[in-house]
This record gives sequence, structure tokens and C-alpha cells, in this order.
Amino acid sequence: MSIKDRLFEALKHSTADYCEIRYETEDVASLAYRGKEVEAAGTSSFAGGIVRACQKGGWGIVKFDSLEGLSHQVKEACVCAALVGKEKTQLAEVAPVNVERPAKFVNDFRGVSFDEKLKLIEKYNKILLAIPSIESTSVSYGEKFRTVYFASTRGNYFMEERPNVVCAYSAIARSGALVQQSHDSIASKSDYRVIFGQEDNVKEVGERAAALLKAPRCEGGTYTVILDPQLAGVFIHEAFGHLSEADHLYENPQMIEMMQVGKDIAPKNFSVLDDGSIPGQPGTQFVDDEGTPMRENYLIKNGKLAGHLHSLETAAKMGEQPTGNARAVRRGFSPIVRMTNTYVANGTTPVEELFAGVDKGIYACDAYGGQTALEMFTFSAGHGYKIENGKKGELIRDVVLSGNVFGTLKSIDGIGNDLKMTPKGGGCGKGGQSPLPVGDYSPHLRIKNVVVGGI
Amino acid sequence: MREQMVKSVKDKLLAGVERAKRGGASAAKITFGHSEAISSSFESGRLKGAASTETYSFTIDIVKNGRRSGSSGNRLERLDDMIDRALEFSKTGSAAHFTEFPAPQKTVKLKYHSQSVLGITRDKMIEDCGKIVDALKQVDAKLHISAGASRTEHESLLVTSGGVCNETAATGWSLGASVQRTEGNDILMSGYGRGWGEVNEYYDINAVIDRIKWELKYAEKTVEAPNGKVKAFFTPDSIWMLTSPIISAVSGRRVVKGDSPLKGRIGEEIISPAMTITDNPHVDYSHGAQDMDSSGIPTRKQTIVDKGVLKTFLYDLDTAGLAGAQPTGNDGCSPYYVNLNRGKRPSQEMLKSIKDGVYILDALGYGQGNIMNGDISCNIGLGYRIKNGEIVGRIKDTMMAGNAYELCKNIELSSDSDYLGIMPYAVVDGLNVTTRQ
Repeated sequence: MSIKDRLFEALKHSTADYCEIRYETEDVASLAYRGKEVEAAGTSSFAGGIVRACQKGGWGIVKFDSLEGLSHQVKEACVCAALVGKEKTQLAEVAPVNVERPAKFVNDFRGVSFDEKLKLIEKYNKILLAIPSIESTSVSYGEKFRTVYFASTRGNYFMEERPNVVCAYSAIARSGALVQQSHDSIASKSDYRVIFGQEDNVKEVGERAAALLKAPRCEGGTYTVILDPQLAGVFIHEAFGHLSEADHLYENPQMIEMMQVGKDIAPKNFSVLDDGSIPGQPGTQFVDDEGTPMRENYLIKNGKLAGHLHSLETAAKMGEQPTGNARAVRRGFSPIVRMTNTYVANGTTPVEELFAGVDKGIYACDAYGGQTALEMFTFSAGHGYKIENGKKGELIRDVVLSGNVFGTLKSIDGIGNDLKMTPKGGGCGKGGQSPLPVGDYSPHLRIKNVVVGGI
Repeated sequence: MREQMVKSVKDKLLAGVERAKRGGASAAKITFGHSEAISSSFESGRLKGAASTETYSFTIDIVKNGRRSGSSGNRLERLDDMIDRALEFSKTGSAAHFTEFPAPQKTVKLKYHSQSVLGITRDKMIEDCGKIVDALKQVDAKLHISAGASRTEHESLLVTSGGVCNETAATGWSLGASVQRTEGNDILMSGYGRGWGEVNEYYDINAVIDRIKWELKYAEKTVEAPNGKVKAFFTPDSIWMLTSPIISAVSGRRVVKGDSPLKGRIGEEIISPAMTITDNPHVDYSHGAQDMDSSGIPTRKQTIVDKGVLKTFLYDLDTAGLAGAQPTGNDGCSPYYVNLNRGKRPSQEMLKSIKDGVYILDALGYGQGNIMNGDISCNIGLGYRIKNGEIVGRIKDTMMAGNAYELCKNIELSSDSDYLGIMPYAVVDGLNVTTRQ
């Protein structure tokens, strides 16, 4: 019996208002250098899934590793849902899909020898180790082939293959007890060969780590800040993207009021989108993990709050359309509302003009990461530069930025014209589900009155 | 049925290790885990979900021709295939710094499993979470409240080519809640939870309620934050912000690879003599309880930092070989259950002596910077202002920065601690605080 047939056969045992089964297989291999030696080499192969049943608005969930006994898992999920549900099941309607999407490769990583992959990261590792002051390195290659099957009592079915390759590299420079680091990565869902030709980027990462040893710490204060595209992408993801996820809003009237569509929230030339349909991007899938097709969604349009990101439940409860943003990081996790590929729409200002407007500020570059508490966000730059009299100046380190989303969005006064979407490794964490591949992109942005932490 | 399953798996793992050896491995180990859990969750103040989980996992680690590689999975029927994959993968494997897993040694007998946990029924979880939610609704009807409870039972097996064949069964419960208060554009989040391996006095719904109520009470008013270097009060739940860079830096792996700032500093005073950091994996039912590491080496209580002086790094078997050191029985070169010593004064007395400072409960963006150097630079997630020994209100939009080692040179620890008895309160001098002007 095919997996599709097994899923639908098991669903016949559902007694709930709604029931779905998601089953996945995942094969992963990874190689890593750390310092002069290969640090790790490993492979894994997992399978398993989750049954979700909704009865009178309550959810029953059963996580499993094997397809054996699947009908029993369905029954148990329905029993759990019946125990919990006391209201009305509200799930938005979406035209059911019935589709199988094998992966489409430009260059497939399967069939390429691990020798070749190891030689490539060895080459990058040697470039880093050759740079003076570099004490240690981390260069890794990872590949993943995930196959997701889904079926629901609404007749929805999909199978989607979701491959990915990542090459990540970082350098740790040392001077006495002082340690500094720098990193970068590149990823692709379809083209294994993107990880080649990174020699110049790798060298830049190593040289930057070494230079940061001599760079002074950023002085804490309130500044005009220019964010490079990488950091600006993280900024919009943390500052606004998470707040747009409707599971933070849907049963909270105060939050719905805070995030009302039509609210003036940013300058009129500022727009933000989330789009899971852009080919080849980390957050792109044909459908989300509830079977809703992914699509372009405006979050901010011409300065006004334009929409939210939804699952079937949040869409129904907020009276909005489902947007294809219910995602699960892997088997055994329920889908929750997540971003896909979030970006600031391209502006019109050449980057050099953004600098020209700043007497004293900070140019913050690269991203270590960020975090949000919805209204408050923080994100940290890999490195920065002072801006003095409109020019990029001295390299500085430990640049960490924080803000209140509403004040900060309104303080954006310059949007560059250099938007590019280059997939990286890493991912987003939420609700214990990490790292979920997402894209976060932006042109350069200039923002006034940003609180920057520092000694 | 459980015993039968464990026996059957043990036989498979023993056969698997032999297969690896026949395939040319000089050393092989296989671990297996089986876990069953139930949980209940409240969302938006009402019962939302009930879940059941059953999962399996295994990992294979082999050394062949001086190269090390691994594989893992959860389909036991594919164990042989995954062993063969690990053997094949060893051609591109990491250099192994040991040739054999050690023979079995005497270990401390620990308690991990308690029938009392299995007595937590789903009905009890729902009832207890419901009580927490109802109590918090009384505080403020507009609070957005979530709560959850779970219980887990786990079996694990470790089989090595050195002759170790170790079986453990463990239980665990968790209980917690979180709230969100939204007023206009202001969001306040608070939460608290507990967990343990046995049902005892730690399982206390009033402790969860009281903690959240306390945090909400002092957050009712938002006040101006200070700017500049101040005294900072850390609780047992937030003191990890000061200690985790130090704990990370004693990893033998980081030391030998050159990215630990503590390399070459054994015997040096690295933090205040007021601080002693120990690792104790021998506390029954704790989340860090472990009798042996995954190479079969017995774990031990260790003093990592003694009155400010660095005493030891932590080594797993492979890293010990690389460093030319003795293994300390620490998987991943990490501690299992960190304890800090107590100081002289009660925390309330320490708080009273702060003229102007900050009270840190939570951070936003911690670690997303050069934390490997000990540099802390992040947002204060939930914090309060202290004035003349009193908490006067919540502070917002405020960054904190400092180096963990420098801060821990100017630190006082309290004589009282958290409910587990492992972490005191702390006051440091010289935390740099920046807020919007």
C-alpha cells in the first residue's frame, strides 16, 4: 500500500471535526572541520510524524515514529481532542490540493562523493587558517533530503520533497585572552554547486575576525544607524515579522487592536512582504504544512499595516484569509504560524546617499542573530563601523541594537535600492521549533534614534 | 512489555557492535532511547490541547582506521544499514583520538525513575493547570494566560565495544505557565515553570502562581532606567547570564581548539574568590543526574572553579586524547548539573543595600554576540529599577553590557538560593546599562 493510501486508510478512523496526518522521512549528512582537523562526520535517517485532530475547538495530538498502528494513533488523537474541546472547531476552508512535488535540482548533491565535499571544506578551512591571528576555524557542509506526506479528512493530500545544502564557515581570532569571531554561510534548495567559488568570501571572514581583535568596542548610546542588507533582513524579521504571526494575536483582543490592518506604522515608501512562493528561497514550499498553498503576503504596504500571517485556525478566528504560513520544523512537531521569506521592498536611494545624511552614527553589518518579545526586539551585528561626516570610518565590535517596533519603524528615514536575495544557512526559532529555514532580506536601511548597547 | 522491549533491543545493540567490529571498527558504541510522554496545554486561558508521544532513537559511533564517524536514526529495522553507513562514512571521518572504549568501571548508583511521576494523570494535569489559570485570571481578567504540564518516561541503553552495557530508566514531570499583558503598544511577558524526576514538594502550583503574581505586581509601573555603570541584582533564574560564558569556556574541546579565553589558565584566579562553581551529576532525580558518560566513563562531582581559581577543564574521551589529558566523564565536554556556592548575606539584605541599580529577571538576545569572549550585550527582557533598596518599577527599552569575567570579579552571592538549592542570588557592580535618551 502506498504511503498516501495508508494515510487515508488511517483517517477513516477519525471521529473528530477535522483530522490530519503528516509523515516525514529525513536523511541528513554533515562534515565539519574545526581547526586543523575534521571535527565531525555523520549521517542520519529518521522517519515519523504527527496526527492532529480537532474536536469542538480542542486539539488532540499524537506523535509517532512508525506507520504501523497508524489507525490507533488517529483514534487516540480523536479521544484527546474530544477530552479537550468544549467550543466550536474553526478552521478556514481552502480548496484541497492533491499533488506530488518531487524536488527539482539544478545540481543534485546526491551521488556526489563525500570525498569531494570534504575536499571543498578543507580548501576553505586552509584559507582561514593561513590568516595571521586565526586561532581556530569552523567550516561545515550539511545536506538534507526531507520528504513530507500529508493527508487530511478534508481530502487534502500532498507529498513534497524538500532538499537543502548549506556550507557555513567561521573564523576565531585570538590575541591573548581576547577572542573575536566572524562568520558567513551559503545555502540552496536546488543547486549543490552554489557552495563552490566562496574563496573570496571565506578570506574576508577570516580577515574580519582578525581585524576585530584591534577594533574598539562600540560605545553604548542612541544613534542614527545604517543597517547593511544582511542585518536589515534580520531586523525586519525580528522587529515586525514575528508580530505579524497571527498566533500571537488571534485570541488576544488587545494584540488584534495593536496590529489592526490599516494602521499607520512606517513611512509611506516602506513596504514589507512575506512570500513563500519565491523559487529557490529557504522558506519556500509549494504548500504549507496544513496543505495551504504558499503565496505573496503584504505585511506593510506603503507604510500601513496590510495583513497578518495565518494558519487555518488563526485565519478562521480572525475572519481573514489563510496565507500558507503554517509550518513545522520537522516530524513530530505541530505546524505553527511561521514566516517564509520576509523582505523589505526595494527602495530608491543609492547607498552612498544614505551615508551622506549622517554626521555621527553607526554602520551595522552582518548578523549574529536577533530575538523578539513582540513589542521589543534586539539584534546583533557581526561587526560595525563608525560613521563620521557621512563616511564609513573605524571598525568597531559588539554592536547590539534594540528597540520598540512601532517607534523604530517610524524612525526609518532611508531605504536603499540594493535588495538582493541570497539564501544563507541558519534559521528561525519559535515555540521550541528551531532552526526553521527562512529567508530574511532587505536593502540597506537608515534608522534614527536606535538604542545601541555597549560598554 | 517494557522489559521485553528493552531486552530485545539490547540484543540488537550487542549484535550491532559485533557487526561494526567485523566491518573493521576498532571501537564501536550504540546508544538507544525510547520515550513516552503525555501532556496537556492551556492557551488563552482555556484548555486547548492534549498530546501523546512515543519516540525511539539510536546513535552509532565507530572508530575505523583511526577515523571516527557516526550515524543515527529511529527505525531499528535499519540498524544494520546505519552501522554500514557509519563504517563507510569513516573514510571521510574525523581523526579519532582514542582507539578503544574503556572497560566497565564502578559507578555511583543513582535514582532516575519514580512511580510517583507515572501517577500524574492527564486529568490531574488539566486540573492543576486549570487552577493556575484561574488564579492568574483573578489577578487580571485581561491577562493572556498559557499553562502546561507533562510527564515523561524514558529508557536508555548504552552498549560499547569496551564491554559496557548500561541500562537506565528515568521519569520526569514539568509544570509551568506564562502570561502576557498588553496595554496599548506595551507588552509585558512573565512566566515560570518547574520540573523534576520525582513528584515531591517541588511540584507546587502555588509556587508557579506566586512567582508570576510577584513579577506582575512589580511591573505595574514603568519607570525610567538608569544610564551608565550600575549595580545589578540577579536571581537564581537569571544568574546563568553571568556564568554560562565561563561554563562554556571550560569545555576541553574549546580549549584544545583554541577558542576558549581560559586556555592555559588552570591555577589562575579568573573570577572573584567569592565564587565556587561545581558540577554534580549525582543528585537523584535531577535533570543532570548521570552515572556514566556515553563512552562508559564514570561521572564525578568536580570543582571547576574553586574560590575564583580555575581548577579543571572538562573532557570527553576523544577530547582527552587530543589534549593529552585524562577524560573527566563529561559528554560534549559540558557539565551536567552546575552548582554555585552560597555567600554570607541573605538576598533581601543585599537588595536593600543597593542605592540605585537594576534587577534582572530575563534577557532578550543574550548570546547573539561575542559571548565566547564572555561579552554580554543584550536587551533587558524583564527587569526592574532598584532605588534605595526597593524595587520601584519596571524598566523597558534598556540594553545591558559587560564582560562576564569582569562582572564576576566584582560579585556577591547570597546565603539563600532557589528551590533546588543549587543557585544563589547575586549582585554585581559595574554592569553597563544604556537606555533611550
